[in-house]
Amino acid sequence: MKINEFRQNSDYGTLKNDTSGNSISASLVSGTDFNISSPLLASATLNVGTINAGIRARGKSSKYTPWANGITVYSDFLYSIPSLGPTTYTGALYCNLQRISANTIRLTLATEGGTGGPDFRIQENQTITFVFSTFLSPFD
Amino acid sequence: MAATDFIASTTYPIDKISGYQTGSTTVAATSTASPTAAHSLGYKPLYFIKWSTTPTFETSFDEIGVSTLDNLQLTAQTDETTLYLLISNNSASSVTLYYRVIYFMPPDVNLDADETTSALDTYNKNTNFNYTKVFDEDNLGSGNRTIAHNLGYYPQAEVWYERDDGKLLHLVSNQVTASASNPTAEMTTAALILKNNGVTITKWYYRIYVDEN
Repeated sequence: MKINEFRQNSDYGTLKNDTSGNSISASLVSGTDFNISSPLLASATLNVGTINAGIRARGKSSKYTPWANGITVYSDFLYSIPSLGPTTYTGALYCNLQRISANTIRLTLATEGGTGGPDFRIQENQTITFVFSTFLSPFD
Repeated sequence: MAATDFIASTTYPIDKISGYQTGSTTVAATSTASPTAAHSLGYKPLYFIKWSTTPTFETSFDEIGVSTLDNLQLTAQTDETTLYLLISNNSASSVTLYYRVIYFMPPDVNLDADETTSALDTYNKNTNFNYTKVFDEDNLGSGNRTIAHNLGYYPQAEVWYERDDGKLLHLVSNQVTASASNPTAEMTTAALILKNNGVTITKWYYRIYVDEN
């Protein structure tokens, strides 16, 4: 056995896995209209079963190659504002994986938001996917 | 025993919880608060933090890097003595926020565990569950880093970083765009790629886990 291999040590607790290999996705669909005052663009929910299970996740955009570690990733998305003509813009897309109830996690795709902004139109398809594992809360 | 239940493997170590902490703080309406809590570990621990608005943690949340939808947000930092929290309450009501933190010992620290009085940080083997196995962990100096793992798939990983102000942070948010302006950790089937993207980082910590799918 190598020095960095498994050693049983009763001085430390550890994290017990609850699930592994789950995935959840949400998409922006080209041609969809939104108002900037409503930052939520898309969401998906998933029942993960166990109360308070912690989340380890990595996320990926269909636009980009690498997976990014963490439960929040940023991407960008192209949109146009009809009143300003055909110009397209790049906006920040926030993608959060978070628990919203005892058993449920939610993936949200959101903009920076604002108040009273103009309508805008998504100009391309994009799917955000998170692969995640959950671990039991050692406190419960 | 299910296929995903405990498999004892001496090929890999597992996460070891070297300490933990609980607490609560009340944040006034439309305000921020920066409570601190002493952990007295003597080193900058790697951490996971969860928080809730109820003391029973019936619904609990993870540290979120960015959220434009929620009225409550929490981020954390650690150093050798203290846990630092930054809580933002954008709601119209005062909120009491409860938090639970578990600490891991960094790979460049090798001290005896100090807390032995609770089952929480005492090893308790339960074959109803499997345990995430650490394929590789280390600490690295400043700059962009590429850690080859050559696993042939995209493994799960956790990353923390120490800034030039001495605070240690869990990397929970990432940009997948080409123009990132925060530290990022990208994963390929062959390597974990750490980029500071203009942020002064004095040290990286990472753990790459064996995939159990």
